[in-house]
Amino acid sequence: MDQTFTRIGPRLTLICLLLGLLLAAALLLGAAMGSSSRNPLDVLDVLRNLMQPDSTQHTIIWKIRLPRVLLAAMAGATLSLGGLVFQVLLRNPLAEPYILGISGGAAVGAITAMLLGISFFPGVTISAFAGSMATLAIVMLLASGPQAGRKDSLLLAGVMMNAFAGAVIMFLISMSQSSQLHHILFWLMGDLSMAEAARLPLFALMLPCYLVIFILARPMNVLLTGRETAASLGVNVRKISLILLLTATLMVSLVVCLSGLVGFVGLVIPHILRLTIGPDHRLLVPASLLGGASYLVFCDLLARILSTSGELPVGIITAMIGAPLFIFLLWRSRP
Amino acid sequence: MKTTPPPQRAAWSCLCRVCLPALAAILLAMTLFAGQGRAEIFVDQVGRRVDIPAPPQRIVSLMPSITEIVFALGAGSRVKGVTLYSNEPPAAAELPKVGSYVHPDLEKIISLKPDLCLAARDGNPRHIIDKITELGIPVYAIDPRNLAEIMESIMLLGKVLDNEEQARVIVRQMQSKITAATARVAQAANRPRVFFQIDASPLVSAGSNTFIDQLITQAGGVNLAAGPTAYPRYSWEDVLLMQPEVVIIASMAGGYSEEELKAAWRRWPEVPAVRNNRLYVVKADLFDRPTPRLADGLELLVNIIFP
Amino acid sequence: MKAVSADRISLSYGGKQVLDNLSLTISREEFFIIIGPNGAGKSTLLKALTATEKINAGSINLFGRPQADYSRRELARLAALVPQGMESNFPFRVADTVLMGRSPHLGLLGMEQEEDYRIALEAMQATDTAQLADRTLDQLSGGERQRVIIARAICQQPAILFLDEPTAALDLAHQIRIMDLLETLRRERKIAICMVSHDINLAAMYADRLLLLKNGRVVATGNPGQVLEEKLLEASYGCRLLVDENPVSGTRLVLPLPAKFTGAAEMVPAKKAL
Repeated sequence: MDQTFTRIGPRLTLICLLLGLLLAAALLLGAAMGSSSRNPLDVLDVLRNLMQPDSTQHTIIWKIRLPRVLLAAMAGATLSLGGLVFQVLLRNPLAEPYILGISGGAAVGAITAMLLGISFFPGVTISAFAGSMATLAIVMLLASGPQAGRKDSLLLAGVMMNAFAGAVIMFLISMSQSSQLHHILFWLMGDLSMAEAARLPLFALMLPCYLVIFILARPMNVLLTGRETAASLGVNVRKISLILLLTATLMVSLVVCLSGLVGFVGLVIPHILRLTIGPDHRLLVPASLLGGASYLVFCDLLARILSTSGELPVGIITAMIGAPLFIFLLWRSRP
Repeated sequence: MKTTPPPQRAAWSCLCRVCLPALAAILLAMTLFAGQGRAEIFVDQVGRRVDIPAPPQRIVSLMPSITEIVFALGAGSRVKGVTLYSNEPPAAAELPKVGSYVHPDLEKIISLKPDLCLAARDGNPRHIIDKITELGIPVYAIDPRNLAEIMESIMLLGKVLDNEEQARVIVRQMQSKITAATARVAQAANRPRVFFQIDASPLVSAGSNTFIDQLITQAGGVNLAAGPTAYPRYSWEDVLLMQPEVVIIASMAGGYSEEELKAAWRRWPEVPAVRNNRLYVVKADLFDRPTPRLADGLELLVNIIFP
Repeated sequence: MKAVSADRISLSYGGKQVLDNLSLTISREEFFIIIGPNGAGKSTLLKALTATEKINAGSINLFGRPQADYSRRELARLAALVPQGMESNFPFRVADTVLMGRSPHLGLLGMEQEEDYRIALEAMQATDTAQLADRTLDQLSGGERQRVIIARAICQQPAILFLDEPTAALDLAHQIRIMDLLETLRRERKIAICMVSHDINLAAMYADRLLLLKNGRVVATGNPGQVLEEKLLEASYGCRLLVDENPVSGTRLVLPLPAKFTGAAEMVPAKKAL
């Protein structure tokens, strides 16, 4: 067999295996540790007690930690994959899932609902979702005018919407009472504490999105060569770009509704993976899912156990790890 | 001649003279005890029915003010977990923390194996309370919005914790302070204009529907910040127009020292309170916590307003 | 049957008429080069022929069938495009880039088969890029990169190869190298080459037929001898030119004449008739 080309099958299996193990380990640690037990060695205890209803630990693990850890995994997977897709759509490795204004719109929707005193689920969730979808519609409308430079006009429209939303958010915050502020700020920084086992089935909506994107993985490679070349290679650029945009926006919006604005996952994880396993999206799609899930589960664990005076918003952890990591990567990739 | 009574008559007689009175005595005793017996279902101050089968031995308090009350009721040793900033009394500060009142840590709470959680409707997030209840732990909520309701909440907690006598003592003390304050106010000729500053840069005061507003009014003053906004902000311009006669400043407002806070006011001699040197710095938590010490706050205010 | 046959095509965007009632034909295995001044519409013509841009009027037939009848994938298996410029912020390896040329032959979920790897390797050998397989595109020189893109285009196994100024940024040696490569590919794989070029002399040395374009209209089309005529060229390019014969190749030689020399034009020997 000629060595010029690396066969994708074995590589895919290996990557899925390794990252799958990483995710399993993260899930285990996440379920075993928390604010009431910060010792990693407790994992062994947990495994022993797993089925024994020692009622307190059992309740804590199954009813409090597990839903939360699963939410973190799904959110991490989705944000990471969303970041990957936007990096392809905008042909820019610095793109991230909130770049087209999803975050701004969702935040405005969520904060408005919170100020009105509506309950988190389904009120705030639906409001956030409506906000992000409305923003997407506006962004696409703004970008659909001029034919030329389609990619840039989408980006520009997204940046403008985010800026506008930012101003609205500041205004809403200034109007809020101090008791609401805490909840609002936590949401803005990513808050996985609202995890509920009953809401997890919502994530069943994610799986078809993951599948669609995986199917489009090879065309994603081709899209990166440029619109003309991709078209000449037989790819329906417009149709595939639209499908990717809608799918990614839908799934990222769903996550944002349930977990607030967790940043840096969609930016950093695909980038690291691309540096280690290369730019083939047939590998990057599953890797982003598994890698992103592991990363957020791990960050959420840190958010729960690092501070003795209460949990931190998970977005702070992802930022504090992600930002320096990203700077380091940029530094290393200088020519 | 003495005849032996027939057996039926003897039985009947026994019944009437011994058994019935004894039975009556027993029944009477039972009713007396029943009056002092323990109810199992309590209705909390928010109207929820809470099932607390036995006097709680492992209490988690989700609000610093509630912690204070529980300790004051003498049940401090039964408290197993408190929220951050539970600094009164000092013993409470040593207890395990279960997060902040606005963001309680569910896992920590459960791990303390409480048989009762005490919450405040205004402050604790609803979904956490629901979650705790779902997990089978009774949550008793209070919602005191004025001095009268604070005293009511103390009585209710006293019943729940089986410390009713102590509750009565506390309430009596509070009541006497309030009565004394009301008496002094009744003798006053006028009501001075009061500005109560709770934060600096910007100036923040307390509007209607706050404890501070109620206390000022009850202490015989006029709260210049009264109005629909709970914590309105003012500029120095506004203050000059309001012309407060008495200025009360919560200590550590905005993180400044007592001197800095007073100095900020002394820049404006046009203000009557500054001209007449009626600037006072007070401890904030005497005025913003629904605890027995609020009555002390009232006392302090009356002494300040009518020296 | 002609490989490409365009009949009175017009294209305008932004209110500007870029192609105006233009007709051309390209035969199979023909080396066809489009020349003309800047803004003539050469790139746009290429895009119209490859269905990258839509025409407003007229029709284009490829191998006897209307261009619109082909699905995108069928079109990609028939015609390959080597565009101008190279945009990519992503570090694809040369081998992966070339392999992408097999896309039109794979299904949506299609994984490459051994056959695809063989074709790709062969394309890299034909373009002398096999030894660059592991490098990333940004590590290559201009000439190497161009050959890699041509290799990718060959993987599509097209019957027509369209190129937009493939020699534009290359030095003399590499220009010849690329043109020789195209000539070899044309001959060995029986592909028609349709190229846009800035370099009239290079075009003269390799083209079977030329098309001179100005303002979206055909000025002349035919073999280099017919098209590269002084009056036609001067009118199209808008400057004084010297049209002579290349003493080595025998093909036309076209040189621009700056104003400071035009006074001495009479001293130049008369052109040899061809």
